[in-house]
Amino acid sequence: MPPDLRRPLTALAIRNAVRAGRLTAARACRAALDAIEADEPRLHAYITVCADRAMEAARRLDADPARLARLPLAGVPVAIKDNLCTAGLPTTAGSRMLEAFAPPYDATAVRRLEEAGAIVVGKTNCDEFGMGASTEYSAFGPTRNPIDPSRTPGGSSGGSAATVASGAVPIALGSDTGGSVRQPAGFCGVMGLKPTYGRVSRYGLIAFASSLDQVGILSGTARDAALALQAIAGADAADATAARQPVPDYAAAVEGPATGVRVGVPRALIGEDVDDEVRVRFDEACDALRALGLEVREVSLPHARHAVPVYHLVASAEASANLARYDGVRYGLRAPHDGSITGMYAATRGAGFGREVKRRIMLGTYALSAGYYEAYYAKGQQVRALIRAGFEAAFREVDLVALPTAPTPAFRLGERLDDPVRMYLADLFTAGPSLAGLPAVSVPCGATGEGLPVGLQLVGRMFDEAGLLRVANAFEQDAAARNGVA
Amino acid sequence: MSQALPEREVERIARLARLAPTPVERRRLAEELGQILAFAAAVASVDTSGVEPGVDWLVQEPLERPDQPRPSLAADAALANAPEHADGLVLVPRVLPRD
Repeated sequence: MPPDLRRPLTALAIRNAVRAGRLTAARACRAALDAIEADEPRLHAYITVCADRAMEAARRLDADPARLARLPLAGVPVAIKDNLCTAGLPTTAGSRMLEAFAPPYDATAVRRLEEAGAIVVGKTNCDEFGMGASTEYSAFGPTRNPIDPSRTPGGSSGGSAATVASGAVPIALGSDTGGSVRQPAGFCGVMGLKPTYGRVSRYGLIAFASSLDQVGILSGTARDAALALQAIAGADAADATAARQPVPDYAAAVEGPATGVRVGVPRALIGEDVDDEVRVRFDEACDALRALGLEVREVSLPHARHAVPVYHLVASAEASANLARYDGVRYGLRAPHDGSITGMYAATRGAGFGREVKRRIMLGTYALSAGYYEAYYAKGQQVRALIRAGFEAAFREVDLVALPTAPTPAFRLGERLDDPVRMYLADLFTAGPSLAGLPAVSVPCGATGEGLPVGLQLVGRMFDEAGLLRVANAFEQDAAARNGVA
Repeated sequence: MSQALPEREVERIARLARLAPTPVERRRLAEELGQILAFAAAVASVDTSGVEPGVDWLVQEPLERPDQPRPSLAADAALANAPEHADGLVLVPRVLPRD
């Protein structure tokens, strides 16, 4: 009997039904495209929807049932953040600079998902070049939170989080540099995984900060996150920073018991900046972990309170170098100019970049400039090493660190646009694990009285995505059982 | 007391970054960068004596392959997004001054 496509299905359910012949890839794709079309006027989660390309890919899959039956993501519709290259399909990174850019190659993560049988249905909206915490810095208009459309979905992967939260697709790729997968996941009530730095190839991910960027996964469940990670993780000849560590069986690992896992909570970090209702949901989540048989104790992360300023110094410096390539020469915008080469650079970069991107380029250039490099960038990298050491010390006593994903639930559109520092504080809990290169996942842990989702963030040791997903799955199954959801 | 950066500093950085802010943008950037740098100032007081700056935990052995030619990006694909090109070359305004 075919599955009921009026209810959102997990990736696992779709691929099982497609492999068993109870559902065609074309039907699954059509259902996703119809849901996107119904939601888009309200949400604006997408910059490009590629209906023809998706249906054609689905038909090709359906025409080869022997191959289809073996594919791990057979027929699963997926959305891709618009800073990941998709060959021949517009890839804008949310910027006017790349508004008309169609890459000549696929990002490795995208290619691997498609080789696993997934169908790309569209490119999702994001803060320009990944710089933002609300998707309001997209050059193409903001995305709205499906739970409350007067609020942001978070950022920078707001479009990916919103489309998964709306139920249109079960999996979306995002990118996370200082929190850009985890925070929107928390704001939209879905799961958001940032793998260990290097776990997933960055080839074809439009660069923001090269020592921090990671491709991440937005999904409705831990099992779906495991499925996606299995497809995209692993070494890549095209990315020398992609880790050569073997890829474990995440799908098997996610089912394991979570009893006996030791969780550390850095209480001192959860201070007055944190919304009261977020704090209550977080405490309840810790109680739920205890009831599941995990040990929850206090740990100290003494330098983690400097994570946000350190992150902005280091990430902006790296961004100023990475965004130097946008000069109007080889691709992207070339703005009208005075006929001189330097005039072309300035006019192009002036017209192509938005305010936040220019702010960060300026900050980064300053932090790297002669006379300031030692005080800002080098100092930031030293404090970064201390933050990393703090996590390593904690992991001698515990297996995971738990924190709220964000200090507040989703804020209203327009609320923080005139206050860049306040916007940066959305990364309060996510920036530290990014600086340390550690894997981290945001798991839904209830909502505020107004129904706004709250996220629990779990941080693991390097390359322990299996441990993270196992606990995330146990927590998710337990919460579903307690809430009476199948 | 204003935290704003001196506008001459903003001009210096903008030149390095190949940006040309308008006077209004320059004033706003001076204010905003000042705020952000003030926010980042707390980092200066952290004791980092003996700490190596850097991310050695992220570094792996370099990736190598045999030095054998193999197909790469075709020229027409590489030029497909070029704003102006001719004869397989990207065209830009003159870089070197005329003699």
